Amino acid sequence: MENPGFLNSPLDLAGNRTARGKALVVDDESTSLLVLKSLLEKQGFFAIPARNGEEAVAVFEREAPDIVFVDIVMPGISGYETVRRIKTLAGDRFVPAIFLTGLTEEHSLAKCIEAGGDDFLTKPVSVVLLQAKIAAAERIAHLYRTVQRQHHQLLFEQELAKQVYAKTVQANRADPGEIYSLQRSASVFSGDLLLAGRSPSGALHVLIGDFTGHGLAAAIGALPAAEVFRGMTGKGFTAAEILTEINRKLRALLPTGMFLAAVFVSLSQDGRSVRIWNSGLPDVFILDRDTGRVKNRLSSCSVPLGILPSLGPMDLSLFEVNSGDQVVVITDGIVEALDSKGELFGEGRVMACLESGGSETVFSRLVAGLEEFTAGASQEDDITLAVIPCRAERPWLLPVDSFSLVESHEAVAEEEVQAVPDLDSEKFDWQWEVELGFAVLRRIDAVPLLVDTVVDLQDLQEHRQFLFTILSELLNNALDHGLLDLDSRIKDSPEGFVRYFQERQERLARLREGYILVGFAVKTEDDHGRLHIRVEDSGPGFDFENWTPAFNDGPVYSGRGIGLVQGLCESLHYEGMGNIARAVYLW
Amino acid sequence: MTASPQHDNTNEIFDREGLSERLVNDGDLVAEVIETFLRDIPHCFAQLEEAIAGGDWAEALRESHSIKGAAANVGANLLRHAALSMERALRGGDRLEVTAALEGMKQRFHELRRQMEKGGF
Repeated sequence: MENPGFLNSPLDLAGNRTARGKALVVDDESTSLLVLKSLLEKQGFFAIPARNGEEAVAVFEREAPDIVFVDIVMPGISGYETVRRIKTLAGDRFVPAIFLTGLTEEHSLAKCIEAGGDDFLTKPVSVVLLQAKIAAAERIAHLYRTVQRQHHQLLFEQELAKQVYAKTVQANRADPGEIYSLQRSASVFSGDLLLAGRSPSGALHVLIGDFTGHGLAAAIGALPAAEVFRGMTGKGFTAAEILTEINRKLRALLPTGMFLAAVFVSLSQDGRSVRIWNSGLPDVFILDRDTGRVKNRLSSCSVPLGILPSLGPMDLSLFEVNSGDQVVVITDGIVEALDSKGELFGEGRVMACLESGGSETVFSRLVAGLEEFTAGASQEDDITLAVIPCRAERPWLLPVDSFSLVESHEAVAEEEVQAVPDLDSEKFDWQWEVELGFAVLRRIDAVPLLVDTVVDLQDLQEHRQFLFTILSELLNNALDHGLLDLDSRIKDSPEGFVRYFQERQERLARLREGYILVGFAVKTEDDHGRLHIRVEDSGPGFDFENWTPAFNDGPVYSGRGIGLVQGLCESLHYEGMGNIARAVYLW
Repeated sequence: MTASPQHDNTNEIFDREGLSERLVNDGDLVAEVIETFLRDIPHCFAQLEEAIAGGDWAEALRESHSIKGAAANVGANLLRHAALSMERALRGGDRLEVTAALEGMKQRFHELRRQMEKGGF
């Protein structure tokens, strides 16, 4: 290894840089001062003498030497105090301070170290020892500089990572005001994750996660998880499908021992039902808007994400909620927050804050309760709290607003009244037909895949949400009523809603026959075009000729229904036994 | 570089060889160090005597410490020991011992000066 020397090597009289830098020698006694100064010069140093502590401090400020030799016993301020002051002045710069002691003074070595000294040298000064001590000091200075450089590099990289992290993870929030959240990290990066987004169906997806550990190591898994969440939520995948994919991805990416405890909350577009999955986080609470009490709670029902190859059957717990109810999700950091005496915040205090009532919001009460409790204590773990108010969103997806859409589409339709084309007989830009057998229908929700393909084929990104709504209504009708023979009137009562979905789940699991045929065809003209959608199921059909779809068809529990599809499409017709639906979407 | 054997003959008034070795056999530097020593130490002695006369034990301790360090550096082994005795006497606080130690130091310095000057420079 090359001799690293000191950085601050000054110019000598001949204008050459002296090899090793500046040395400050402090001794009140002339002979010792002369001996050491001379020896240092022979070692290639530019040596600056000082006769006492005050002078040494002044020289240090002016000359910024690289190494300092200080006699302990001096008039005025002692050698210890001199080194203390010099070390303070040096700040971040490492300046080795070497004390000069008599042979009989080794008992004061502890004091030397305490004062910030790095080494000591006994009188009479031996050249061999002096050389060794300088070499050791230079090695430490070199290490120190390396560490400093790497530290700066690390800070730079952290800053870079922070920006990527902020863009990927934090830019992923739903509109402000949709959820109330508090995130406090124990270091620069949070190992806690809070993601929210709207599905094209209008459902609000919220993922609250807690990676093992905290800091950058924990935050690293947040990037792939956020990407999957954002991509799949935007394309309309279900909570179960998103969780399955996040689990798969984290398992492939994360090292052993690192995983994600998470809660997934999916609030339906109408704000009437919520599906929750809890794998490893504290209990999730649903607060009743009227009583202010916890009306449901959901404990962890699965191992955290990123551990098992498969999460098994993904039945998210379904809860009926009212507008104004609130879903409260917290991470371990809250339950395990410590006060200044080392006591845990605990679930009891969480519950007490939630149910304490008063004019403050649930969110404010919990935040205030936590802050009061942890005042004066240091934060050990990342903290995340999310309060999700249950309410309907996306007014444009609600039946009442779809009238305006209908009007604009009708205007176009009147101009270009035309017969419903047969998919086979007209020249289209492209056609695509796919048969979904019962085995596929049982396993996945095909709507996101179909919408994705169509949107990509025709570059209809701006129409994704409309197409998603249309296709999910048509496919769900074909599946629910055509193949599963469910009666949507079950949904007409508040209790029926949950029953309907349980029944659907059971019948779907038992499905052993049937198929749904989905066909698409596109014809474009100038700057507009038509997408023809044909959905045929193998079921018995229904008496469509005596059935009138209505926008506001009774209780809201039966959903937006087919009325909305009519509103979004140029036309909607039933054919055959009522088992074939044809829709035309105009853009 | 191999370490030179440490000259620490405690009975030597002046270990010129040891000093020369520590100063990497730089004759001019050896001469300069001796000159500095002989010029500086009498001042130290004067201040030491004054401090003792005035009963300022702390100041006396500091001065004898300086003399001890300088003596060590030039290889004045007997003076170094005498200075060490002075430090002990001062810490013990016995005025008679302090007076005796001062006489010892002066004696050692007197011999030392003769030997140093004998070497010629």
